[in-house]
Amino acid sequence: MSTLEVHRLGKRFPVRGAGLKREMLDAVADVSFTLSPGRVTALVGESGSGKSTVARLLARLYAPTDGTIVFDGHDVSDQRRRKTLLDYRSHVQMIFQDPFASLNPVKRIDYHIARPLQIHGICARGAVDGRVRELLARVGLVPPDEIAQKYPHQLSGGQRQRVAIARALAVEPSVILADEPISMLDVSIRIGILNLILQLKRELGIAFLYITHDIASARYVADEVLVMYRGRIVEQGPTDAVLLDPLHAYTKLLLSAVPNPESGLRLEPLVRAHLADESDLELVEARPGHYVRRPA
Amino acid sequence: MQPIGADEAAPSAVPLTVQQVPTARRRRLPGLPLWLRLLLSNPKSRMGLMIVFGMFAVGVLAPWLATHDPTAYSLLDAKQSPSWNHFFGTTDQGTDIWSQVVWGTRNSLFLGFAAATLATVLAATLGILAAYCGGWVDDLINFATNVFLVIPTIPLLIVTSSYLKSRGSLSMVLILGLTLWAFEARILRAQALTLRNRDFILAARVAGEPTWRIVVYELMPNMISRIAAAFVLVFYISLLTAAGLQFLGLGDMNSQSWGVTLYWAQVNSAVLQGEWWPFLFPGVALALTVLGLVLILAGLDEVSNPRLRKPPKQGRGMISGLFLGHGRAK
Amino acid sequence: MSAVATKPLLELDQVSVDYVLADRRVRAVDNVSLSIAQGEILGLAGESGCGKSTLAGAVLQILKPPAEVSGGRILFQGQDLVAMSREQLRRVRWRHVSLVFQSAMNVLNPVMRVGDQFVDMFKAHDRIRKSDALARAGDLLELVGIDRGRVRSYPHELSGGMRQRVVIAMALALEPELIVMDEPTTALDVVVQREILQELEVLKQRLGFAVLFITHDLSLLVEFSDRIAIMYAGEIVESAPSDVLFRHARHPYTNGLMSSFPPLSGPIVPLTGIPGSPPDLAKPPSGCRFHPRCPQCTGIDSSLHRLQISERPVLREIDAGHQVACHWVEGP
Repeated sequence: MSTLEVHRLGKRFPVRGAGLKREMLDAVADVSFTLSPGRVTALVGESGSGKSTVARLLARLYAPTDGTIVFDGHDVSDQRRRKTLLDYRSHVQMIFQDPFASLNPVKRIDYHIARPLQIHGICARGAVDGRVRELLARVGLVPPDEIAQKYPHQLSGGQRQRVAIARALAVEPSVILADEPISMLDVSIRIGILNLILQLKRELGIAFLYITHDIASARYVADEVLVMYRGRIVEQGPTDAVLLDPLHAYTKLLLSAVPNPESGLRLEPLVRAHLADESDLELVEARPGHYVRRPA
Repeated sequence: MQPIGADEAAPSAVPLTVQQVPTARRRRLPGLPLWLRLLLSNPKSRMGLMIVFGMFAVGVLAPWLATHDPTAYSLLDAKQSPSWNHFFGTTDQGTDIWSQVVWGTRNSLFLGFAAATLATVLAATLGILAAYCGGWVDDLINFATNVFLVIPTIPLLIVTSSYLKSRGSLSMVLILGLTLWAFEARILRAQALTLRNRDFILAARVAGEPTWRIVVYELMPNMISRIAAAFVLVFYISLLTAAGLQFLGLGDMNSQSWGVTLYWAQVNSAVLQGEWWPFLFPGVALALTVLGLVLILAGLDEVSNPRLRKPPKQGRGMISGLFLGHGRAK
Repeated sequence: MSAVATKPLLELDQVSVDYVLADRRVRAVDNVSLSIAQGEILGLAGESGCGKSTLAGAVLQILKPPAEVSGGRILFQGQDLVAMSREQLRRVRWRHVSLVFQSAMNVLNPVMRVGDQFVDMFKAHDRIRKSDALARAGDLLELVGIDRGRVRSYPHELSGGMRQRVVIAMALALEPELIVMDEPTTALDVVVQREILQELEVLKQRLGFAVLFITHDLSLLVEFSDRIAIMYAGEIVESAPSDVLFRHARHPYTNGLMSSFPPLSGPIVPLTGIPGSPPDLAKPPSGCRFHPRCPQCTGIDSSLHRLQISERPVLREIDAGHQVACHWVEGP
């Protein structure tokens, strides 16, 4: 199992400024972290924070404008050759937010899972069907023979998301990037998917990047939490260190905004803070393993 | 975003190829492919399919249906109005119009079908490629599309027909196909653009699928209803255009075709002589076929866009719901 | 807590809503009874397909065919909305009962300025001069925390949170007694959601309206609403004041839902959620609709089991203000 490291990753997009001016927007800037085998790293942030862009950069759907991505010791950020890209894809996979949109509506479930097996030559041609059934069973979709014959619209949201996970598992990846995998599922089904992620992490030693805006689910599933705001990481560290002892103003703001019936207080007023432009600040180790972006 | 649960309906933006059959009565044969069942369940397309199928049948069975040799002259029989011997009457030269129309069906349908196939293949491939690849590929294809859009079909056909030694169907098919693809290419490109950033396409990329496979196996199958509509559209436009050219005398005047029959009717001043049968029957055949195709198109639209479908007939429930307020307990 | 009123502001009495299809009827809302007092916030929680949005549509009488109210009464200030004529309904809607949708862009016209949309709305209900209407629009925007100059903005020039505030301002414009909100903050960031809810609370104190707040986020309701009703497969399965529901929920579904929210503090224990998925309302399970997924339907007690699979439980009051529809809770 290999490690995926990200160093000072950045992605700039051109946006239309006033008139003919073309301004550049830093969707992601100065992002560094490591995904290690058997660990879940949560990337928490609101919409517009850049967290999905980070996932897509790691999935090589776009190329970064700054920084490097290092997999297994090799710098993969710049390669455009098909062979190296294909090799990367056999180690790093992704699951998407919308369980319906991530499956091709006109293809059966077995097609979705067989394709990665065929593209990467994971097993012999005759063994593909058997492997598809195995993968379906592993993610809890039983009976696999029945499910394999269905079309996406015949399955529930939770089932479709499990299919997406099975598809990602087909190539036997070291890393799975999960982009808000449960936010579009019914509440009672979410825990099942989170438990599946924990199980796969334990049993297969896969490194997960779990992207979400829901802090509570991040706490449930992650070993490490990274808080993103406007494209930058503002705080990072072990889960309970960050969530129970937040040091950055934005983290505190987020935590006070989340509905928390346990707190016993009705609609506690927000901890408002002046969130300065963070671009000139650096990540500083404030406590062991716990980093905050603040004036150096 | 709202959570998606077990019985959430599929989003209506997805073309209908796999959506569940709407609650129309399902007494049709279950063995038929889904698309055929859907088209048959819609009354418009059902009618259209029957007409077009009928015309194809006539074309195929022409050798058996024709009563006379369509090229045979017989001055004895000239200028006869429809009768038992000559169902559609005879021309000024005594040729049987029924046989001409029946044999003409083959030619006309072949022209339309071939041109439609060529145009649709070009439009689908180029349109989807442009949408998926973006960048210079898109720019290049858009440029080509614009160039071809500007070319006027009929003048081009007239010019080439005048120059070409052989005025065979092949050149007509080629030119029809090459001038009609551009219109549909733009439309298919637009639809492909909406699909391009859907998660399942991204997932295919992340899985490592090569571009050509994504275009052919992931994008195209989701655009089938629009591509089918493009095909039917070009089909009937080709039919009309080809017939029009033949009418002007620019087609292969030795072949059997509805347009050619109409040409001869006009040349022989059939109308002035009070002979209605030389132009009525080929005209009706043409109009009927075009009607059938248009009906299929209308049904296809409803099949792929659920919002156009009429709600099932309900009688009291709906009326009372609209005007008198809900809740009349049944 | 809730304002005390002898007569409820809104009362749903055995309301049912069916979807009438070509070959069958699907009951989306089944014999639902609820009431909301003046100035009270009632939260309605449930997952997708439980019928909560259909219920919201029924309250405002905006259901489109094939949906129709097939039974029961919807009493607003004592008058049955179901029996009203279109003209009468027009006078009730917006002036007395208004609606806030989940997505602001379903409500706001993208090619009209915000102020003009308010003017449109005012003119539909009153004779009023445009200048007066625009002034009132400005007042309303300030009320929800938006600079009044934004009256001249187009919807796309506002952020998601601001757009939703505009929609709320529109719902408040005619000072209705009841506002129905269908997932109003679900699509928004958690911080913006908190700000909007806090503002709503302040406005409620000032203007005294009641709210029917529909959402899937139960933890939100526990903080925000006075009472909560839980909906499953078209029925209300439990209803109680929020703190009672939070600490002493009795229905297995409610408990299952609550254990689907991972805790933000305290130890992290493995959770199980609820196995299976909500039923197809066209073919609901016999007896108690939740029984295939219920941890209390085990078959150990055979007479209870027989009840669970054959008879529909009825909502009964087990404590002051606390109602549950469950065979297991009721005991032998």
